Amino acid sequence: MNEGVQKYVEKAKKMVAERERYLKEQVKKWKFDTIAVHGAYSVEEAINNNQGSIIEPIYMSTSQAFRDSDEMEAALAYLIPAWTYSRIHNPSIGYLEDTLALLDGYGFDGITGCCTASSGMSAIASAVDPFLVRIGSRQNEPINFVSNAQIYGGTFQQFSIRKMRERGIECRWISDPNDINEWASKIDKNTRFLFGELPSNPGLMFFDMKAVIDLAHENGIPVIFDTTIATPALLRPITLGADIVIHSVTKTLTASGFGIAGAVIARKNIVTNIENDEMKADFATYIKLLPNRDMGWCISPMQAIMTLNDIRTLRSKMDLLSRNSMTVAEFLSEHAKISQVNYLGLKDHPLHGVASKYLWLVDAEHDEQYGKSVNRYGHLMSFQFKNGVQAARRFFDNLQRIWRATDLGRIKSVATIPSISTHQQMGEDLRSMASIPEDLVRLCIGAEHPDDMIKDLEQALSHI
Amino acid sequence: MHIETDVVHGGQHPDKWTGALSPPIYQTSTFVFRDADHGARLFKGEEKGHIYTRISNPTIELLAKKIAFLESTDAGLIFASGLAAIYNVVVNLVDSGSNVISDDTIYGGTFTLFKNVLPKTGIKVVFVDASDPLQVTSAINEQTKLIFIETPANPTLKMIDIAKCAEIAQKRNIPLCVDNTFATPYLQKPVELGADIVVHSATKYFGGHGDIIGGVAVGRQSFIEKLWKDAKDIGACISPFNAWLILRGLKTLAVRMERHCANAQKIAEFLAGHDKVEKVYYPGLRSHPGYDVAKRQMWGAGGMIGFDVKGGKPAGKVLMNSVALCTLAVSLGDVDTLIEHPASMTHSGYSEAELKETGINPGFVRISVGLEHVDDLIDDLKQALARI
Repeated sequence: MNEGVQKYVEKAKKMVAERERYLKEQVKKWKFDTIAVHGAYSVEEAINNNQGSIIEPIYMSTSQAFRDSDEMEAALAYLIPAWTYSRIHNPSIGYLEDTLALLDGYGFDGITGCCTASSGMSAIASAVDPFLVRIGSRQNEPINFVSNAQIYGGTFQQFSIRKMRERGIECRWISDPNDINEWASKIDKNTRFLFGELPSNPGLMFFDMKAVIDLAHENGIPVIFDTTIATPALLRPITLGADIVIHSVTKTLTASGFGIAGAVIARKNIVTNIENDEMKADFATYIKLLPNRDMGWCISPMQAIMTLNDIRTLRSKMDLLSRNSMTVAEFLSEHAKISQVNYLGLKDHPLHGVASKYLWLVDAEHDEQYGKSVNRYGHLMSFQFKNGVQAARRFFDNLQRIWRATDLGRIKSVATIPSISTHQQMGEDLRSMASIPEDLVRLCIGAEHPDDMIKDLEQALSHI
Repeated sequence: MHIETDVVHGGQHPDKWTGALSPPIYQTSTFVFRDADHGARLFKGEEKGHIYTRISNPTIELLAKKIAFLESTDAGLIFASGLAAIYNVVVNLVDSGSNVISDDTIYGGTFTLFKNVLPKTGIKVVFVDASDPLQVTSAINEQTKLIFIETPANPTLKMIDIAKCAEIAQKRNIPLCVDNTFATPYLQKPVELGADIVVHSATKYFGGHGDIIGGVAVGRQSFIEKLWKDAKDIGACISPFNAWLILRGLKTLAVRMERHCANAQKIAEFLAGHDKVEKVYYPGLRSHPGYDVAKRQMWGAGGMIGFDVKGGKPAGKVLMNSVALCTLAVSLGDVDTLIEHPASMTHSGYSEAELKETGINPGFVRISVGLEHVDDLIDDLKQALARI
């Protein structure tokens, strides 16, 4: 390293130390809402790097210009924090990643990191692919991983077709994730990780996460949870000991519906049986700087700032959406034409007990409205009809205000029929394995007044 | 440097804070102070810095610098629209009881501002035919505080000799403001011809893609500082995002204008030879009364064409309803070709007599020639004209 490069490295060390001090002494001591509003964007960051702008600027630029060859060398060798090229990193994207890492790490003593991706699906690939490698002594061994079967149709597709059929990597499906013995029976020396989506879309599967985390760690492998539906406002798996969390940031984290994005959040020093010290030490930074740089599924800086804006009100939004959903779920559960409502908040839901153990509105005890811990169950529900698929379609076609769209997590209420949309690609057999009947309607209640949504549901139901 | 280089690099450097090659979008309403004294110094103007986006913003400031550079002058301000820019310039220079001398052929929106809005503030607008210098000279009196022209003018492409107007204005020490929207600095630099202030609707060729509304005023540093003092209180500010889109549009101004001009020249020549066309208004045709002025002060004739179809209003309407590629829309300077027939569209409420008064022939059609292949545009006009 020449003297010029050395200078940049020294300067960067000071900067990094100052940032770490700020995060540890200030940001990590804040409540959830304060972190959601500010993230790691400090007054100093604004004044020293962003002309005093109180809102994080949108760095709509492909590249970073360097002062001289020394700075460029230091940056490209990852010796100093730099962004270089927006496929690799970008200041605006960095602000979003800071906030996401801090929110999923809220209540966790250690350090979390985040790597954003162009979509939830690329976030999943970013999180799982580094474990599905054939390296070192494990060149020729078969590879498998274990996942609950009730998951989003896109994830199912990625696992069953892209990994299993095309790459010969076995995905071992768990049909009852609350049976810890089923998980245990699927793990062997070639198992690379455990994967769980909860609450699952659209079936609202929930299970005892802690048992699965302990099981994975006993076997020296990591757990990856997709908690898109809950968001960190209700569930933060890393605080329970999980290694990695993924989100389709497109959903409630970007409730306004302004685009597609994904994120991987990981704690430092994950548990893994892969021989890769860099990856083990700081998974999020590792995938960001190496595999994701090469795969190229980066997010747009514009998207990053739009998402950041949505996240600032995440906690109160999740509270409102959950309460509205509860009101609507109660209405549906009493309706004569509905055979079954799946909403984790309903007391008669078979998984209500286990869900209530984990789904808590963050900081409710510090909220003067509540002053104590409060369960909240998110805004995803699904339901079926006494008269089957014909009734489901008739109801669906008569919705007036609730949008018919393959979407969820919106500030606007949206409904879909998964068997003909989000989970159509799975085929009938796999749908029945994942418990997605033909007459299942998925509903995600938004921030409208619930009375108006109930009126719309009522009139649509009257057409059956 | 050549204009092609200037539009790409002029007035712009990698962001000094982060090295970003393309400038960041400072989509923020407000800016933080280091401490109370810092805030006080900023407000007193003792230290340069940003306070609030209505007052100044890094993205918007960068755009102003760039356009000032392209127009060969010192400084500029960016506004919510072209009309907001004109309004700010006029009320800054002309007080109640004083007057503006304006050419009588100007954009309809400007005309309405001058005729209906400004008189309410006690500002009088005297309309003259500025292509006749004598009319300008004789209209000037003690209360004249500004001379305003637009050249080429919307919609008849009337040409005004900027240098001659500047000479008259300078003699009487009155500032000359030129609306350079149609020409852009790619074709004409009014400041180099003696103008003091240049205004633009940035919505047109600067943005170039039909996605933003914005306006510009540029001129000497002392004037822009004076203009800013009022402008920050009037509050006709632009969004930083729009400013950023204009910055992006400007980079391709030269290549776009080159094609706009080449396409327009061919279409004007085609129309001039068509038996259903009465008259073509295009400064690139020898038949245009402003041809010589255009040759003198512009490097090309621009992308706007006016023409009269034979058969008046009904014929114009048939043409509008027959074009398939040209888009029926107001605005101009977009990548798409936009066509408009005032008698049946923007001015459809006017009687024939009223139309005559505004100088718009019933068969008058305006085309903003886009960047499509010119043969496709000519084919479209050909088939549409055939239906008349």
